[in-house]
Amino acid sequence: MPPLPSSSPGAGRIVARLLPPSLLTLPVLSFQYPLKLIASTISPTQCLTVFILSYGGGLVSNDKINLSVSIEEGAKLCLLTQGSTKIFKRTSPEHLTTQTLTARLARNAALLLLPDPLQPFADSVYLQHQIFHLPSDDSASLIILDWYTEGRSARNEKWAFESFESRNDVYIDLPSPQSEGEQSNTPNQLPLRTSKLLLRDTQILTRDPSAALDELQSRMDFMSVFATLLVRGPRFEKLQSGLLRRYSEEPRIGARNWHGEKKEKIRRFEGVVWTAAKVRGFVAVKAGGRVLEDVRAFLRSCLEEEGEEEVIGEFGRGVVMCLQ
Amino acid sequence: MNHAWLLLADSALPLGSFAFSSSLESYISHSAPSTPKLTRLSTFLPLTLRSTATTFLPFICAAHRDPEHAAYYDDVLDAATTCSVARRASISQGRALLTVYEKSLSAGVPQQGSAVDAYRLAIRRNEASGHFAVAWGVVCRAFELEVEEVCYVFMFNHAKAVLSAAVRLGVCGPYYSQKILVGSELREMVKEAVVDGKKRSVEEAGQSVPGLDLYQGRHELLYSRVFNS
Repeated sequence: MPPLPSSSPGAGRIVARLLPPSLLTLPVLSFQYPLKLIASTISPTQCLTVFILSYGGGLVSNDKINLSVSIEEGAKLCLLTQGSTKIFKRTSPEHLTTQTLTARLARNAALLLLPDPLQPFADSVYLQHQIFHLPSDDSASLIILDWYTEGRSARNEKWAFESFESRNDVYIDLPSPQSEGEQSNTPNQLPLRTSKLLLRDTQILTRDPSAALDELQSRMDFMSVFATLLVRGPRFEKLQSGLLRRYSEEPRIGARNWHGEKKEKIRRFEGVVWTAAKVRGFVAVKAGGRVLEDVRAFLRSCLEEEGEEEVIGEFGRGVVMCLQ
Repeated sequence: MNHAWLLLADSALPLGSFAFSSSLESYISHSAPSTPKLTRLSTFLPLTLRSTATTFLPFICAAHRDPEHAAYYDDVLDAATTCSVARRASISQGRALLTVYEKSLSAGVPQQGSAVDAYRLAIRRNEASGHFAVAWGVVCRAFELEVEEVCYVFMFNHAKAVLSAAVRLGVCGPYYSQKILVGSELREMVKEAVVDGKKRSVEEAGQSVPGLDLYQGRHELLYSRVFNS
C-alpha cells in the first residue's frame, strides 16, 4: 500500500462530513510542515471553513504542498487563505515549488475554493495543479477561484518570475461499466476510463529563454492581475444565470449613446476587463485588471450580488472574506 | 514537395477562415485610440502565435500521431476551450475542413478508409465536436504529411488569416501584409512557436497569453463587427 499522503512534508488531508440532520464536522484534519490547516472556530451551521496556510506566509523554493480533500455526501466546505500566497524565488536550479490539491465531492456536496491571489515573486518557479472529482450523478456544486498577480508591485516587480503554471481539471466519475469484455477486444484501445474530463483551465506562463527579458511582461498586456472563476452545480444555478446576465449587460464597445446618459442600473468596474461564458455545464468568468483591488472588488460584487441568496445566504458572509 | 500542401496551404481552401480574426478585431477595439493600429498589430502577432502554439499544436500532434483516437483528443480540447467565441471559431473551421475532405480532398489520399471517417462518424453521433486542430491533424495524417510541416503550415496559415483580417480592418495594406509574411521575423516566430507547441503533450497544453482569452470572449460585445471571432 502506498504511504498515507499525510505522512510526507507538505501533505495534508481534510474530510468534511454531514451528520444528519444538519451537523457539519471535520473528522479528519491533518497536515505536515510547511502546510498548515486551521479550521474556523465559528460554529459551522452553514458550512465548514478551513484556512490553508503556510509557515512564513508563503512557499519557499522547492516547497511541495499536497492537499487531499474529501467532501462527503451533503457536506459543505469552504477553503480560504489569510492573505496572498507568496511564491518566493528559486534558490537552486533543480528546485520546483508545487501545490497540488485533489478534491473529491460526493453526492450533493459543495466546495467553495475562494483564496486570496497567488503572488509569484521575481525568479520563482511554480506549478499548481488542482483536480476536482464530481460524483457521477452530477449533484455536487463547486465554485473555484484561481487568481494570480504580477508579483511585488510595491517593488515594481512585473511578471518577473521564471515560470508559473496553474491547471484546474474537473472530472466527473463515470458510472461503472456493465461489461468490459466488448471493449477490451478492440485493438489500440485507450485505457478504460473511470472518469471524464469536464473542464480544464490552464495558464502556462513560462519565460521564453530565447526572447527579450520583457517578453513575458509584454505578453501580459499591462495587466497586473488575472482571475478565473468557475461555477457549477445545482446549488449555484441562480449565480450562474446572474453572472451571464451581468455579462450580457456590459456596455457595447464602440457604441454611441444616442439617448444621453441613462442612470446606470448596475455598478461598472472600469478597470476590469472581463468575460463570462457557459461551457460544458460551467459558467466560466475570466477577468483581468491593472489594479488588484479593482479585480478583488469586481469578484466580490459577482459573488455578493449575483450569489446573494445561493452563496452569502446559504454559506455565510465569511466565504468572501478573501475578497474584502 | 507533397502536392497536398498546395491545397491545404491555399487560402482558397473553403474553411471560412476569412470570417475569423482570432480576436484581432476585439484586441484593436479595446486598445486606446491613440495607439497606432500598426503598433497594435505588431504587438498582437507574436502573442497570437504563441497562444495558438501552446493551445492547439499539442492536439494537432496527438491527432496526427494517433488519428484513431481523434474523438478523444477532440473532447479534451473541447474541455480545455473555456472561451465560447474561440470554441465556435474552432468548430466551424474544423467541420468545414472535414466537409471539404469528404467532398473533395479524400479523392487524393493514398489510402481510403482512414481514421478521418471514424472521426466524422463520432461527430455525427455527438461524441466529438470537430475542433479545427484535431481535424487538421487527422486530415494531414491521411495525406501522410510530416508532423513538422503539419505544424508549420497550421501556424503559418494562422498568421496569414490574422494578416488578411488586418488588411480588411484597414490596419495595414496588402503589400505590407505580404512583407510581414515573407519576413524572417515572422518565420522565426512561427518556427519557435512550433518548437514550443510540439514539445507539449495534450495534458500540458494551455493558454500562454491570458489576455487573449479576455479579448476573444469580449468579441461578442463589439457594437459593430466585421468578423465572427
